[in-house]
Amino acid sequence: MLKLSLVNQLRSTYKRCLAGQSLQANVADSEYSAQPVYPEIQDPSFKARKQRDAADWHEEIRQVPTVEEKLIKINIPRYYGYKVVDFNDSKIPYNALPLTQHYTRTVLEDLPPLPGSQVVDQGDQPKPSEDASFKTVREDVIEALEFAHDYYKHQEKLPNSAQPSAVEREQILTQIIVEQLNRALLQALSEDHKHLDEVEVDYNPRHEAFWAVGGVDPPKNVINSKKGREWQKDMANESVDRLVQYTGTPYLSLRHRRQLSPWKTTAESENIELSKQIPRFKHDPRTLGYSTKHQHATNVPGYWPKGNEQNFGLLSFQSRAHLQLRPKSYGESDLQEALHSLAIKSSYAWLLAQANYNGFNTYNELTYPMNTQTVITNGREWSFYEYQLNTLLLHGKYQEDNPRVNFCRGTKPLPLYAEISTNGKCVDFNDATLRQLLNFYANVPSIQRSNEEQQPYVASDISAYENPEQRDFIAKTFKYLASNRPRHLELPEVYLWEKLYKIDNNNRAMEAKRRFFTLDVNPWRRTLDQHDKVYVPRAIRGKSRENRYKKTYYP
Amino acid sequence: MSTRWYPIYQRGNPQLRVFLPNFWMKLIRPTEEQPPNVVTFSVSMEMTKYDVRSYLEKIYKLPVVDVRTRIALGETKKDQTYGYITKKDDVKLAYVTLPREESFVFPDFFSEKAEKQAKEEKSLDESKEGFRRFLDRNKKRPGTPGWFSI
Amino acid sequence: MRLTKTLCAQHIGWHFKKHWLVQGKRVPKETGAVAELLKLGVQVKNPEDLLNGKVERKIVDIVGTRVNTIPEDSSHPDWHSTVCHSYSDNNVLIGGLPQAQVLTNCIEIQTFPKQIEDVIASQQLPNSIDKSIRHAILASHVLDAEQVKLPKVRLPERPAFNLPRSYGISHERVNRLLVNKLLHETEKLAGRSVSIRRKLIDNATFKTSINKDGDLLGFSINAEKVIFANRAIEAVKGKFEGDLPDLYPMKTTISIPKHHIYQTDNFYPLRTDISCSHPHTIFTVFNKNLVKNAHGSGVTTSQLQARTLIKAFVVAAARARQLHGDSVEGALPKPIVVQSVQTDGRTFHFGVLQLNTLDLSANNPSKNYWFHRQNYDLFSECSYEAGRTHLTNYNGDVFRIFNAFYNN
Repeated sequence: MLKLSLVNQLRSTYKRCLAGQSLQANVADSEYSAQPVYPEIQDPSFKARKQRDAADWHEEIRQVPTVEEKLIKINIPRYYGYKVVDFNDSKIPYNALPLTQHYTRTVLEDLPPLPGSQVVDQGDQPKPSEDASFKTVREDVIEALEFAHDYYKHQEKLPNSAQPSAVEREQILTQIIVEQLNRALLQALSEDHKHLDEVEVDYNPRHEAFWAVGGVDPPKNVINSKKGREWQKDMANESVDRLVQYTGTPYLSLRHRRQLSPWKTTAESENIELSKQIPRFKHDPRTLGYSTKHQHATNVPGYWPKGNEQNFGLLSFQSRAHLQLRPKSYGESDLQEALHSLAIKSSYAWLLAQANYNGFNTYNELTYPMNTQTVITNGREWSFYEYQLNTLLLHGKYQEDNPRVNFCRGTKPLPLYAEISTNGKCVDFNDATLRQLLNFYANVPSIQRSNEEQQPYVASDISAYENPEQRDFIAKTFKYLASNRPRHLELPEVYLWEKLYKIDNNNRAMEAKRRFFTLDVNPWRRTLDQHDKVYVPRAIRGKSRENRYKKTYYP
Repeated sequence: MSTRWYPIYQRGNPQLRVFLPNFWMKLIRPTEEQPPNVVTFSVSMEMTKYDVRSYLEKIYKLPVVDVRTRIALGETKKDQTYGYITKKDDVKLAYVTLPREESFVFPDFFSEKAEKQAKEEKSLDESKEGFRRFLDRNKKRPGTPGWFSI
Repeated sequence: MRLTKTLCAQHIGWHFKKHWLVQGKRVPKETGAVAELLKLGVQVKNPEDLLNGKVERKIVDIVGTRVNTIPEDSSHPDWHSTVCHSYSDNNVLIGGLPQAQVLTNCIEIQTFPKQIEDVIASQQLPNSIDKSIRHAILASHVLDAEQVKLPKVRLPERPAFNLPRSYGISHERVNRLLVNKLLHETEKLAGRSVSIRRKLIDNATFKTSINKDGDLLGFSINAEKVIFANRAIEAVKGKFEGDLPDLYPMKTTISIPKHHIYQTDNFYPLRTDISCSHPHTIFTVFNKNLVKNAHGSGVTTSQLQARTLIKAFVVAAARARQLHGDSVEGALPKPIVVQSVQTDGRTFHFGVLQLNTLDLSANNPSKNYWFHRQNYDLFSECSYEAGRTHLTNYNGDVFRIFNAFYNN
């Protein structure tokens, strides 16, 4: 074989000569230059090699042409999913704000008061036309509120076998209020604000996002394993990346074709001093009460990619019903911080998921800022937040080096009304809260970018692929990953007796080594493409033996 | 400690009052790094997180914010002589969160003892080293007495 | 060959067992002692009563993990001796539309009322609307990101096959999104002047019960979306004549399950004294996995249309009872008009019910009116295959009717 290949080489050279190409000239063109060009000198140390490999992989992800394939590519290293910190909108432990800020690289500020409300405070009257329109909106909103409460109260009279819990009750009532209010506001405002006509409304959409965070202390098993090797002892305590998966379902979210305009300039958001001041939480997130799970990386902003034009978030209404479950001992100030951290993580995750559909991800940096507005509500209390996403790079060395930071600014919970009286009338309606909400609706998304500018890392779309088999494969694999369904092949089980007598203590040394743990196979390390290919029946493929298995198109 | 089982609550009176439940808590050193306001206890298996909370609040007047518990599997060990396997009991661990401004440092009782031991070992090492040097010096002249030197 | 030696022994244990059996059933001999004692006036007691006397057990009320279920028998607080035909969301009237007509005393008119027909014919819709509706259909059927386990799919010709479970958007969510998005488009067209007079509600419950020819009928239904208006829809002008279909030999209440445990109260989801409380349009969802015939055969078009009618009827009857008191019988002072739409995400059935009378007896000369047309398909297929979305045979008429209904 070896000899044959040599012969082949010779033959190709010979052919080129026959074709009239001079052997000499060809070589001169390709291999020599007047100035010697040396390859870059590379650091051969282990750490540098590791970093280079990671950077290469991130570059490979960047090169992948479509959004779906990018997500598949990120998932390829794990068949059973990554071990992720379970970030969700229903559990916020005590003292969660520093961790949330660290994990999203966010600077928290206060939302500046509205110019309109200041005018009212000083005693001047706002413009009459504005006042008239505000009055109609106010009436509409009060009517919607009263209607929602009336309906809910009447509904509760129904004899029902299963009594919903306090959390469920709040969710049901708030869902009604938010939907009624959203409808009233869209109708009342759409005459003056034309952008609201193009808004797309998502009802209880699915928001999920995946990202990697650096600067977290390594877990004990990693330290132990590194300490076991002489040459890695020094690196034993170096921080490792943690993967985070957010899952949440807001009551409602509004999307628009255009982007909201950023409220921090590029210069303001690139500040290495500021980035150093962000609180860090170096301990394991489990010490705070977060849990971990294994799951595929998913990025879902409520719809499937390329589905529609309304690709940018305008406003989302988050639930605070689960905060009821927090013990009273956490205190009032921590409740406030919990609201902040809920706003930060939900806004960050939604924006990250949107960014993902524009070709960015936790390893490929954003090229333009993205903004959203978030409202956390239980029907009565409303907290308003604005978020600006400037950076997605939080992993590894970027935790220290990245000068960019994200910004969140918000208010305290403001009551929209004091209570609903027994005869169904709204008492002490708070105009300031309504004005703030109106302000969010009236915020016109104005930024529209060209396709190249908006999606610099997306070269294609799967629906543009010629090969139907490839399209089908990518679409199915993507949905499989994004659906969070269990893998077809379950994890091999380790029985307790095996753990006791074979893994922890080597009591059965003479037994045949057939189980995966005796063969040194780590099932968690299995990669996504390590599976049997799909067999194509003879009736379909014909008599050829070559295409017996369906091709796979992993990026 | 009582020898009675902690009774399951039944509605109605008279209630069975237990004055000495099987409850104990042992402060232990955490195996992994934790925030300073988290304290780890090994507690009796029957205690729930509510029991841990009331224990600390009512008896020691500690400001407890949150309690999380888990049950850790006991270690197994192989007998050196006969090769059978023994297992230690499972323990319930309680992670008690204090208010964020509090910080708890696990008391270090044995630092003095360790210092003393280190000192002793040092002097022992020194004498060992001296003897080794003496042997080295006399390696090339076998048979000469130790006091003989130039 | 070795012959087995006969073992001339008997199993003694077996004999002991038999002995115990026999002795255990020994009947005491009648010695005449009882008669003798009675003659002397001595009271004789049965030894059974003395030895195994009945002890009253004290029932201890223990706090358990769950509330004890109330047995569904005559001790149930809602138990009635008269049987009630209880119609709920998942029932199908086997006789289809004729049965529903007889049940609700409705005559069928196979067109919409004139005002709606006029609006459908004359309305001007912008050109971009079809694009928006197509987008709404895709967004609810294909592009929503919900992924839940869908119901099992069975191949009728191979019922034993276990096909892989598919994940996707649940039927409830598809319909919720579709109706919401269609309404959103309609309200954008209608503007604030109309939509301020309407209120929308999800999952409203309606309950009522009615006596018909001596049978008690109970209805408890759920409408996935309800539009309430601040003014009731005007009664349809003109008089319509027609006969109820003859169901013989079927009884009108066939296939409605009978129960002894029921409540006969009336429930309408809103109070009367709030501004938008008049029923305008109800949207109900038909899910073929939940709504089934008793013997598994598929639901026919006629049965589906019957469902639209019944739902409209229940809403109108519950409203009538709420307005005029539970005891109202016979002709209503003012007819109640309810529009009803049923959909399974693809097929739409529109109808308008005018409730003139609550007297459902067969010999009542005045009838209720049921205006409807045949089913419309919004599209023939909407799917996401091989990375591309497909929407074939989109039918724009559906939205025109939808819009006309909303603006009525």
